[in-house]
This record gives sequence, C-alpha cells and structure tokens, in this order.
Amino acid sequence: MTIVASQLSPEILVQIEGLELRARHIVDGYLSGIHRSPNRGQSVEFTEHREYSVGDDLRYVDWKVFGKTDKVYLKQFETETNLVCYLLVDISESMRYQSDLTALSKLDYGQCLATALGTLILRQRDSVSLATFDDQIRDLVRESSNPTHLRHLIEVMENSPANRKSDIARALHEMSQRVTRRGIVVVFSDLLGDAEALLAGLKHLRHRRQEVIVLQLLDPAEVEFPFRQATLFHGLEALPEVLAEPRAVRNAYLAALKKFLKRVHEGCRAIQIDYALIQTDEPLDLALRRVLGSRTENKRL
Amino acid sequence: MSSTSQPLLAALEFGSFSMLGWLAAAAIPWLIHRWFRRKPRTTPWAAVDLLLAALRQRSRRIKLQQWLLLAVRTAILVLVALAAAEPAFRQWAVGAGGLAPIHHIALIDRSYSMAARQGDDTRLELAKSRARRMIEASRTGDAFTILSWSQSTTNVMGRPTTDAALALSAIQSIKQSDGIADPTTVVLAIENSIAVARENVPQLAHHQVTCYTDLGRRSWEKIIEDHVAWESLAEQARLLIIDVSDGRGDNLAVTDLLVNPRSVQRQLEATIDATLHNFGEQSWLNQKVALTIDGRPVEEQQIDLTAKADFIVSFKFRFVNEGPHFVKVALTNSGDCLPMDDRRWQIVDVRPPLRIACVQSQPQAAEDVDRALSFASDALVPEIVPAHLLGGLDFSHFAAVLLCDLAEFSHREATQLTQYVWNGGGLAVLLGPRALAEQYNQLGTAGYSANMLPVDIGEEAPVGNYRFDPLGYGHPIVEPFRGRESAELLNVAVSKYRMLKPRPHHPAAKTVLAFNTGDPAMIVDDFGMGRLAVWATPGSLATRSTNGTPWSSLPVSPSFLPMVREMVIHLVEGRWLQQRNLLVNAPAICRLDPALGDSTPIVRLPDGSLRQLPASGAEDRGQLSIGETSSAGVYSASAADKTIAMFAVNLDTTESDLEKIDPSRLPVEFTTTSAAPTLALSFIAGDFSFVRSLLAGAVLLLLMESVLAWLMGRGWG
Repeated sequence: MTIVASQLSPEILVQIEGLELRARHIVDGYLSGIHRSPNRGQSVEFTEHREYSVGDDLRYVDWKVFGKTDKVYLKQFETETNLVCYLLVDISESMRYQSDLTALSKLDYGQCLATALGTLILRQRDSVSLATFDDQIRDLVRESSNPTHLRHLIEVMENSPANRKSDIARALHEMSQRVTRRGIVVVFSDLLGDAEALLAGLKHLRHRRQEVIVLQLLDPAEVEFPFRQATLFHGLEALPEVLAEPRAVRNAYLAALKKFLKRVHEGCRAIQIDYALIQTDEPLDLALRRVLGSRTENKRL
Repeated sequence: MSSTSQPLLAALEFGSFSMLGWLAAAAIPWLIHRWFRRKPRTTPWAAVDLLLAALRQRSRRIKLQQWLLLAVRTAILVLVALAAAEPAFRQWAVGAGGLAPIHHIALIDRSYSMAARQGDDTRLELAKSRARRMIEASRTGDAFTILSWSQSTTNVMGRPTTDAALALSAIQSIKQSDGIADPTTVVLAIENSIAVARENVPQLAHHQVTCYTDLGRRSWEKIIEDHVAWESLAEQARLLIIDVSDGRGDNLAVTDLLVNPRSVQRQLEATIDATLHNFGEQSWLNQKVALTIDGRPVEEQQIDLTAKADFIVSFKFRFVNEGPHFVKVALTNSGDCLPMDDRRWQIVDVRPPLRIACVQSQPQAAEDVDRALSFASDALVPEIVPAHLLGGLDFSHFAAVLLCDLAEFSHREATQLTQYVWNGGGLAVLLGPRALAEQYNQLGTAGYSANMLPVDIGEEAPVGNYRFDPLGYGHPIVEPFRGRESAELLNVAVSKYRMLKPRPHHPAAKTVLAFNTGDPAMIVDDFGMGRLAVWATPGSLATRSTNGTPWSSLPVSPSFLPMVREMVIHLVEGRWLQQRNLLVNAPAICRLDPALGDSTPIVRLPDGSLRQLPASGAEDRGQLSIGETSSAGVYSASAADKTIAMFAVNLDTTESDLEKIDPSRLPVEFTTTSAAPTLALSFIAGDFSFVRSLLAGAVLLLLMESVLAWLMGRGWG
C-alpha cells in the first residue's frame, strides 16, 4: 500500500457540509491511495448479470445465457459477509474541545472518522452498528449492511447532544453486555479519565471475544500544551477551574500525559487491542489509512 | 553587625532623604503580580485531571519560584531607592553598641567659595539644609555641636546640646564669610568639641564629625597635609564629608590690583593694573571691567577672558588731591557663579614729600646718604640731624630715621626710637666702627616681646677685600639691579664691616644682601607697625679702615643712590601700603595723628554701617585699631568729621578656583558622599562603601532576575 499526499486536512473538510459528504470525501481519498482493493475474494451467491467486456475473466461467462441469447454475459456474485463493525463514538462534553490549532473538535473529527469507516464497511457489504456514549450508552443502532443504513447512523450522530460527563468504562461494560454478535468494536474517544477503569472496560469487550480498535482522539493543544501566558482552564464535564502559569507546568503536564498515554497503549497491547493516537489536526484520510494499514492482512476491515 | 534589635534604618543617614520616595516603586512588581493574577486568559479544557496532576506536582515549586522572583524584583527597586538616598551607615554605632546616643559635630564650611550659586541656592544654604536634615533625622538622646568654619573655626553653641531646636537655630545663625577655609584651626576645634562633650555629657560614647563643604581643591590640599592629625581624629570620631558642590567651576575673579608707582604723587600719572583670571573651562567674551576711585566711576574697558588664563587690565589716572583714596576695579556684568570675587580694592595715599632724618654723630657720616636721597626722588626730603638733637626730635614729622654710624644714644632716645618704629616709623641703622653694639642690641628689650633689631651686632670683620652677594636679587630692594651690571653693585669693594648674627624669633626678618663670606650685609625686618633695616657698613666714604681705605666704596658706586632710595621706600611706603591694604580677617591698625587728641574715631564698615571704636588704652595710645576685618571692602575711619584712615580689605583669592579636590587624595579616614540632587552618587574614599554595595547588589539581583525569569519561562525544575 502506498500513501499519497492528503487533500483532506480538517481545515478543508470543515468547509464541506454534512457528515455523509465529508465521509465520502474521506473514503474517496482513502481509496485513491490504495492500489489493490482489500475486497478481492470469492463470492458464492449470484446476484445479477452484466455484459462482457474485453479482458473479463472467461470463467464467469454464463454459457447458458450465451446459448439462449447468443450474447456474452458475466455472472455477478454477492460477496459473502459475516463481519459486524460496532462504531462506538464518545459524545461526552470533553469531546467538544477544540483549540485554535485545528478546525475540528474532537467530536467532529470522531464523527467524520466513524462515518467514513462506516461507509467503507457498507461498501464491503458488511454490517455496521453505531453506539454513542458518555457516562452510559445513549443510542444504539442495530447492525445492517444496507447502504441506506449509513444515513440512519449519521442522523443519530448528528442529533446526539455532547454535554454530559463521560464514564467510558461504564459504557464499555454496558456495550459488552448489549452486543451479542462477535465483531469489531471501534472506539472513538479521547479516553480522558481513569486509565485503569478504561482498560477494565476494554478487557470486558475482549472477554466477550470482540475484536477492538481504540482510536484516541486528542486536540493538538492537549498534546503540545502551547499556552504561554497565565491561563484559567475551565474544566469541561463539570471539572474544576484551574489557574496555571503554563510555562511553569508544561513539562509536568506533558510528563503526566505521556505517562497516561503509555499506560493506555501498553494496556491495549497487553489485551491485543489495536490502539492509535490521532491528533485532530491530522488529515482524516491519512488517519484512516494509518489505522487500517496497521492492521494485518488476515484481519478484515 | 549589631546584636541588638536596632532597626537598620535607624542606623542610616540619608544624603537625599526625598529619594526614599522611590521606595514606593518597590510596589510595582506586586501590582504587576496582582494584575496578572486577575487578568488571566481563559480557555475551556478537557484534560483537567492531567493538568491538576501536573499542578499538584509543581505547585509548591512554582509558588516558591514566583515568590523568589517577586522578592528579587522588589529587592532591586528597594536597593536602587536606598542607594539614591545616599545613606551613610553608622557602622561604628551599630557595631559598638547600637542604641548609644551619638554626638554629632556638624562642621559647616562657610568660606567664601561656599557663596557660589547652585541653582537658586548658594552652597552654604545647601550645606545648612543638609545639616538641618541630619539633625531632624537624629534620634532622641543624640547631642549636637555646630562648628562654623572659615578663617577660624568657631563653636557656635559652646557646649553640645541635645536640644535639636537649639542646634537648628545655631545652624540658621551661620552667615557667609569672606574668608578662606583655614586648615590650622579645624582639627583643634573638633578635638576641643569632643573633649567638651566628654567632660559635660560623658554618656556620649560615639562622635561623628560631618563636614559640609564644597571640597575646594586649593583649600583641601592644605587641609589634608596634616595626615597625622586626621588619623588621630579618626580614632576618636567617625569622619563624614558631605560634598555640596555641583563641580561647576565657571568663575571669574579680580585676583590682584597694583598701583604704580608705590609712592603716588599729586598730578603725576599713576598706573593701575588689575589682574583678572578665568578659572573656568570656557571663555567669557565682552566682559566689562570698571575702575572706580573714591566711589566715582572713572573708566570702563571691555575684554575677553580666555579659559584658565590671566588678563591684566591697565588704567591711567592722575590724582589731584593729597590724602588717602580708594581704588576699586570690578567686573560689572560677568554673571559667573561667584560674584563675591569679581571686585578688588586698593588704598592709595597721595602724600606730600616725605621727610627723612639722617642722624650723624660725626661730620660727613650722613652726608653721602643725604645727598643720595636728595637726588633720588622729589618725594623724599632728607635732613641731616646731629646726634645731640636726636632726643628733641619730633619723630612724627619724619617718615623714616637713618642712624648713620651713630655711636650711642640715651635711654630716652632709645625708648623714643623703639616707640617710633613700633607705631609705624621706618628706621635704618648703618653701622660703622663707632656704633656701640651693646646699646643697639638692647633696643626694644623693655616692654616689648622681642628685641627691636633682628640681629646681634658683633665685632668688626678683619680687613679684607669683600664683595656683595645679592642672593639672587630676590628682595624688592635689590630686585631693580637684576640684569643691570652697569650699576656695579657686584663691583663694590668692602674692606671692613660689622658682623651681624641673625636672632631667632624674628620670622619676618630677611637678608637682602650678603657678603661673599656669607655674612649678612643688610637685613630688614618688621617691628610692630614699622619697618627697619640694618646695614653692616656705614653710608659714608669718610669711614676708613686702619689701612686708610674706606670701609665700603658703595657711596661712590652708581648703585648707591637706587639702593638707598629703594630701602627708604621699603621702610616707609611699603609698610604703609601693607597696613592699609589687607586681606580678609587681617587686623586693621594704623598710627593716629597726635593732633586728633582724644577724639573717638568712628569706622564705616563695607556694608555701610557705623561702629564707634572703644577708647584705646595707654599702651595703644596713638594707634587706631578696628580689630579683625571680617568682610571684604573699604573700612573708613573718621574723627571730628575728618577721614583719618582707610583700609582696603580684599579676598584671599585662593578659593576662587572652584575646582574640587580629587576625592582619591582624601585620607581614607574620610567617608565622602555627594549632595548633588541627582543620582550621580560619588562614594569616594574610605573602605566602607555602602552606596556602592547597594548598587552592586542591585546589579547582581538584576542578573539573577533575568536568569530566574528565563529559567521559569523554560519550566525550570
């Protein structure tokens, strides 16, 4: 796989109205960077015919139709699928944070990424499910492989108010209980909170034999802490206000962040969860490509 | 440092107390700190837990750093403000017991250079202001002695007082003097003050001498000559100098005034030469110099005065009337900082011809002298007086008496001669073989502090071939012979002379002429208000040695006439002029005309006020004495509506050069600080430089502040 330069920075994407349109751009960008389709494979269930054109594989010529009509048609088969992808999107208040360094909040970025992924999966004719959560699961859309299902997913995401506290551990436990069919759970969240509780929730999912991908979305300001003058930090999710001299605490903050990320990363690796840290100023198609490209070939998606 | 709880500020004096107002600037960092605390930027934040964790880890260190930075910034401003206030640390007071009362000795220089203007005030006013401030800043229990210092050093209050109001009043009473700062009395006066304080207020263990002065170079170079005295004083008291001078030296002065000839005659043209000096670094153009005689303007000239140079202005004038006249030369539009020395006075006595008595005991003994004086000047009228008439002579009619190898005189005659010279007469003793040494040597021994003659007259020198040695032509009597070999002074042959042995305790005695043997040939001296001269040879060719040759060929030498003339002028005019033309604080004394009888003279002082003189005692009868002359100007004495004497009193222009002494030359015992109202602090001598330490501390803290701020900006620690 070769990655081409992205045209889909958050600054450009934010000018595109609607999640569906944004997702289509992301997916197009993503696909244009891949030479070989990941969807190549055997299909067993016939769906329709199409006219032969030069270069088509003669093995799929429907000789019966040729005998009756004297025209060459190829048989088309529906791809067999049993993959269910659960998109788990964090809609807590902290996801609304957006600094001056990027054009999208963490929530917008996560929703775009989730929609793009859903689009891809539906194009593979796999099933997609969506769950939004803050301190619990707020909406759960059942899985479907129907292409029109995407619109329903988008509607749910767009109408989810992001104004509550998060309890991702509780939401993961709840998700583990409510999802019975095995599949791939993709978590879109900043994961800010108790790392140990988070890992316990993820472990629960793994215990239910779910394959899990964790995409931690952080604003560049949260990663770089670029503030210089004295700043009053208004805590989101009802956290207290903090007055700090950024230059004085920056190193300590970055150390604490690094420690937290390391703990999450190592915890995920220990329970065989794919983990990726994504900054919300990263072009989305590149982010998507980075996430999917890191997965081994024997894994679908 | 003190082990007591004495506050630091109580141990400090401040040269510029008002500069302490800058201490308020120390609040600026606090205000900035508060302002930044109240005006932070606001932002929502999700990762509060992480931030709180970072703050928990760093909060104590951050607070410590912030307080440290704040303290450093505040300390910088405090140190600068303190330094600007010019503190003088009472090092010894703190070290020696803290709260013990201090004896402050304020030595206020009121010499005439302190009259220089600096802005709206004179230096003396600034000095008094600083001294008042010192007293106001003192503590209860401290005592004060106020010394005013000029030609003499005066203890204004007598004993030290703890009454600050009294001390302030004493300071207020100090007036500007026209004298210079005399170094001879100051150390003694300070030591006396300390001694008086020890005797009267024994609890005053510490003494501080604060000298408020302009540190004039010419005066202070003399003042510091006596290192030992200052070192000794420094063991008893702390010495602090408050320099009130701004260092400006743009001063012009009339430094000298001469009238030629010295013996001014009526209707003859006299030349009046005034020497002006520009002490400053810049030239003064179009300066007007005015000549005034007896208060009437006579002439004005316009001159340019170049920097650091003399300029002589000459005026010509014919005096019409006999009697004393006062001549004044003044700069009328200089505008320099010290107007006091822009004028000078001179008394000129236009007199009738002077009668000179030439006394001889043998015929021809005085004839050569008489003849020489007759030809020498129209102003001199010599008369030969036989020795037997000496006792009946009215000496008051003669300007000088010449004893030409007079053998002896009666006791009455000796007394008359002594009184005559003491009261201002001129006496010349020309010695030959007849003069009885013991009689001459006894002159002036009864009732006078010293012998009248400055020499012991000895035996005759052996016959020989002696020559004169003019001793470099240094004395005014022989100075006209310099470079004039035609006068043949050096060719005069002397075969015999009387040995003269100089006596001690005659500080004014000077050898005018010597023999090639080294023995004196002529010695002059002052006695009372008069002058006298002693010659080792007679003034006549008639006096011969045993081999028949004259004792001296001088009477036939071309040099005889000018020599006799210059000697007589020196005896009568020079002394007279010296008596009438004085420097400030010199005593004004002159001989009174006996015709005045018992009239009480009244003196008009330079400020126009009149003073009646007390009746003179028996020993002063015939003298006019108006005591010390404290002000420059003309003193005029009158009696019975007639002016009987005038005195011109001028400044000693030593202090007209306003240049300050190089502070590094001051003894290390002095701690010096500037009183200039600027931040230009001079902390000069002494091993304890408190101001310098404060400034150095401020600079160090500035560096520390920069480093701290930089480190904190980079998240130090």
